[in-house]
Amino acid sequence: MTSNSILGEKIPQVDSWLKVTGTLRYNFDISLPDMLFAKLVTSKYAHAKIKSIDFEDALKVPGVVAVATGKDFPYRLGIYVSDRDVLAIDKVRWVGHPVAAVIATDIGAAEEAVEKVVVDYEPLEPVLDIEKALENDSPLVHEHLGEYSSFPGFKPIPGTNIANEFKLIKGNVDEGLQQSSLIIEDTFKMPQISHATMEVQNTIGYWRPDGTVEVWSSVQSPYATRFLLSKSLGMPLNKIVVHAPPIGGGFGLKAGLGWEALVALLSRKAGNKPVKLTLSRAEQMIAAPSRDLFLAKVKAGFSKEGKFLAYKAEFFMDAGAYADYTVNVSRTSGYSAEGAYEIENVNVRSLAVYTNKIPTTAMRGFGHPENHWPLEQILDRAAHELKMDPVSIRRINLLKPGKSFRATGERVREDEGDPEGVLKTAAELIQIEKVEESSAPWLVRGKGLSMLVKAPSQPSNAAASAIVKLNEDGTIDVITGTGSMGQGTPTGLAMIAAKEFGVPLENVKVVQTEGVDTDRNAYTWQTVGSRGLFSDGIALLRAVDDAKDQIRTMASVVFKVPKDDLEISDGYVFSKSHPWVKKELKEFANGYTFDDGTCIGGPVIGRGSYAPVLNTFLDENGHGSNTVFHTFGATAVEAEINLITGEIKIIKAVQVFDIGKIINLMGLIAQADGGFIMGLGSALFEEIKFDDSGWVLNPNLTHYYIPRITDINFEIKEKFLETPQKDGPFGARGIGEHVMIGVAPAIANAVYNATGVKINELPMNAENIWRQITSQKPELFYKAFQNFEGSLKEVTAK
Amino acid sequence: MSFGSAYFTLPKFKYIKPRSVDELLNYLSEYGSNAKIMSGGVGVIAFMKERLISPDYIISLSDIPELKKVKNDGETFEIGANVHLSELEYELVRKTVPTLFKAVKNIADPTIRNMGTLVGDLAEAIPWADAYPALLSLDASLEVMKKGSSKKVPVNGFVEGLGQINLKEDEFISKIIIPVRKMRGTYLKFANSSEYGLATVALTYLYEEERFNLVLGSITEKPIVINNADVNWDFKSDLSKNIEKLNAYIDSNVNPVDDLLSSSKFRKNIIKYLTLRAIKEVFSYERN
Repeated sequence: MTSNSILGEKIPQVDSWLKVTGTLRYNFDISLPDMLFAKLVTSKYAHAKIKSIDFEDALKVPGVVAVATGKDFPYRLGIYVSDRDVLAIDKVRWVGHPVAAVIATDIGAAEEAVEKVVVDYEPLEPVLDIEKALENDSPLVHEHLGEYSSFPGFKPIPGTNIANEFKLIKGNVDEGLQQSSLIIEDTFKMPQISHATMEVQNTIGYWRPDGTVEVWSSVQSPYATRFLLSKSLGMPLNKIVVHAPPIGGGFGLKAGLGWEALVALLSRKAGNKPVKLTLSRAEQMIAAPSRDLFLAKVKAGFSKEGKFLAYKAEFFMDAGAYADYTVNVSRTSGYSAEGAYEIENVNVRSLAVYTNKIPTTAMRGFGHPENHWPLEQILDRAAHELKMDPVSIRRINLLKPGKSFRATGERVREDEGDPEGVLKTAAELIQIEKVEESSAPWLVRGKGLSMLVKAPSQPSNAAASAIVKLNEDGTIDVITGTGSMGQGTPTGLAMIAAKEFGVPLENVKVVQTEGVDTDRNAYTWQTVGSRGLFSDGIALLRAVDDAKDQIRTMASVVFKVPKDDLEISDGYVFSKSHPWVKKELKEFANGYTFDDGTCIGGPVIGRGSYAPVLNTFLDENGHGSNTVFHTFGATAVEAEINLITGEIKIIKAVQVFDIGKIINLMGLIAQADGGFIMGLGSALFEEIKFDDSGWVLNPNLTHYYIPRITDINFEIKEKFLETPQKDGPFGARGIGEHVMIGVAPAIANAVYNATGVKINELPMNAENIWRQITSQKPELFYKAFQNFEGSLKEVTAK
Repeated sequence: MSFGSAYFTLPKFKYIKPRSVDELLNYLSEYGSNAKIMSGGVGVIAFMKERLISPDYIISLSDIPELKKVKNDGETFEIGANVHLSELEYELVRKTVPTLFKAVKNIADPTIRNMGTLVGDLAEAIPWADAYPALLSLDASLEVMKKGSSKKVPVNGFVEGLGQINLKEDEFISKIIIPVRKMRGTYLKFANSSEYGLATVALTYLYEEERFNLVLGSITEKPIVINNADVNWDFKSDLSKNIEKLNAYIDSNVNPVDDLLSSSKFRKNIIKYLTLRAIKEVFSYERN
């Protein structure tokens, strides 16, 4: 592979060999000397006072070292709102809320002891419905909401179940609605879903005898974890080390703070021995966070010509017992509610609401699968009413780079991408105009499309940094802080460094491929929001420039030519004016040594840093400038709907994104395909089901169904546009979350276009679709059944 | 019916590995009340992890060669207790007992089928499992052994309810016996957001004898067996007239349950759809 052509090639992930041979060390594989094991005692009630906890018998189980309860750890945890306890104090807030933890020398003893912990509860009325949670007389999930600390911009409302309220206002939405000749009004819903990472959460905490804390954890963003640990425990940052080995899937579950505070404190309680907590799948789905339940009440106004005049929306996010991260998911779904469109009048109110259900957190897409679900269906319904097609109604409303402003007031950059090109490409690839014949009269084919756009939702100062080291043999070490979770950023960074130095890819090592730790890696804010390659990539390019500058400084002395005459490529530093004057980079790695033994300079170590430019907070109307890039995309599908059973079968899928610049085509295709499949799971199958007392009914992957390989029996076509963004690394933008945002609305639109049946709720599983067909268009069902019975007449019994 | 365990360990047990059926029967007579028989462990280990069972003894079948046999002598097709499901996925099985072949293909996934057995799937007595409906449609029998005796019992009636089987503590199923006859058959499964089917249909048609067994599974605690006589099926008359009778029978006699997997109403719709699909498939074959 020659270095200059590497960008845009299909390069296998740099950790592929380690993964397929089972040698990559995950946190799961780590065991420390004298390590103890923790097991959780979890609540059997959705909402109850803890009257007493008796663990005398638990302590008698051989091997048990200690039992901890909430009163042992009077700390509050959280990233945006510190609403979490370490273990339940005084009351429990959901079925699965950790009440106590047993520490033992082996997991079997811990499991046995957990059964012997007796908790006496006084049940309270639980709040299990988001709309009831908002009523004035609703029981409160958090009585002391006013006492929690929160990040600027987030304001829990004391005396209510509202964890945060966000408003986005542009123009006058009521006037806009009055002027509209078509109004679409409806309510949309999405259930709570699980991240279903292949690797469950697992964490080791070690409170060392010298008072410093070390944790090894399955986390995405070790620096954020360190910061939040420091804040929660009141401990200086430099007394905490967070190790983040490669993780088996994160998807937002492992952003922020997980179980690290608990295990660190358990380690202290157990006499400064390391303690490991590993959740089972069932515990992961009951005791740990999921994605929010989302309810949207929307009213959209259009002119006769299809111009989107007004959008009035109320978004309610059921955050469960803890809204820690979800307040920001809710806020983000609010400020980006307009999607890829310029709408004249916008009024969005977005609430994060506490209930007595499992807590919620970030998940791939961060509020965008939510807000695109109503928006992209409204456009198809409006198109149908106005006798337009789904492409034209979108085209005339799309944001125009260089011209439009978002409802936040933020300028749409000239180099932000080509939304119209994305729309056109997706429509062509799916052949949106072409009507497809189904294979039987009880089956119908339909096509649906969804535009999408997303920016990282991050603080205005979400920074990144990078270090580049040149080794004695000319190989290169790259050090940034982005975690390795299968998303491919380490490979992208390696390709960038290889290109910049002109060395083969195998000569570049990206250190965090095998794990990040906060003592040894460069800082990055978080591994979230599709920001890794963009933010760390810019920092890396700056670090490369710095390293090159150091090499040129030495070479200028060695070659006796001006520094600005020197260039670095193909593994050499050479004079531009006298190209035969050149030396290999490795000769400068630790300083340059002359023939007589004297030397100049020293080890080459480049540093680069990055922080968003001109980003602000949003004000009380949701106005400000809070993004670094937006990636536009479109997802389209052709689907076949069985009118008798309600089954949806995907025939073909199309994924189009304006990525700015393709760095690794193989990684990009894998994201587009993997994201479609993950989106398909949440569109068709996934739902955490609760009973009337708040118990999760399907805490397993048998009844919480995620797509299997046998469900992916269709073609996915990927296409990437490359409208470079001037300040992106080689023009590149992020992609990690965008790939699943449009899947559900595209499928719902396909169903609508094929049958006229409106799908307001996820998941679109067979029974739900059948229920909608039989209630909205019963004639379709009966006709289909007749046709099916008729097909039996061809059969003669012999 | 929620499944999900907080446990990583299994309850403590003693592991016994007999070398012959006689040895196995001795252990059973001694420890039967506290023992479970295991082949691949697909069910037993999962249930133990869930703490649904905690036997003191696990008796393994893996070292008893005669339980590993599949036999077809033209009269009967026999499947030993330690025959793994994947060992039934071949042409001879498809030709001899097509309903069973298709049911096996619908059980879990290939890796699980490498470990699980047909007898195990049957003995779990989960209403959504696939072996029982298929075996009912095939008029299968079980060879049940205990120390000093052996008997052949019809499979019909073996499952008494969720997790309840008609087997004494000192007994075990040594093999499944299916009469070999000229037949066509199919097995259809409909799943929705779950690994388990919410409705299944096993249909075995003995065309020379002009009779069939239609078994509706996963819709009630125990499968529902409908044969041609139940619906006055007339093999001489039009298929559509027969189907009318069958539909009417299902309408008035089949009352599916409501559970996590499906509502009763949807199940009824699906069971009718699957039944018709099965009939279409089985009756549209050319006889050869």
